Amino acid sequence: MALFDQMNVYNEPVKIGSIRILGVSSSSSLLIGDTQSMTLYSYFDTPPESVIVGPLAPLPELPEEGE
Amino acid sequence: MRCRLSQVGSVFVNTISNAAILHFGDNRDGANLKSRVLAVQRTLAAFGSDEFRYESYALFARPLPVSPAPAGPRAVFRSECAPIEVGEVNVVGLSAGSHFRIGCGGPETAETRIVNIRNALPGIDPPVEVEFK
Repeated sequence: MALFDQMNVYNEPVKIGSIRILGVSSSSSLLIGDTQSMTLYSYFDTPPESVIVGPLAPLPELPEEGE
Repeated sequence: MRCRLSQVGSVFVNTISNAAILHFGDNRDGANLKSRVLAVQRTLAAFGSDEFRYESYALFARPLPVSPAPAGPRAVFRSECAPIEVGEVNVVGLSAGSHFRIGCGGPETAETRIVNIRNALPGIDPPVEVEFK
């Protein structure tokens, strides 16, 4: 016999002052409210032969051999 | 899902693009978002491959993961029309199958698949010689 046959969820009032967000992207959700189910997928596939076009982080110089 | 009263003071959203939704209020049927992105920036030529179709990449044929069945007791949700009060929302961007909603509803489903091929090598000439006639 199950201990709980039913779970009651009471959605009470929601009050929000201020929200600042830079970005919502790639199957993301910003929800102020209620939902019973949410299914979000996101894939990002970059082949290994690709490179990132943009500013590169400076790398330290390699130590000279023989030291 | 029972209704709610949504009160919003001010909302600023700079950009909504690529199957994104900005939604105020309740929703009975939910939302189904999809966004397929194929970005190619080539410097190196790739002859002999059809690289501009979704079918050419296994990522777009990959089956979606299936959520397991909800475990535990049955859940009953009650809102009793409790209000939602939001003062100020400031969002710079909504993109790529994203969703912003003030209210209640569902179910929400979103899918995004991106293949981003970048072979632009700065300072390196393409190894393919092209004869201009």
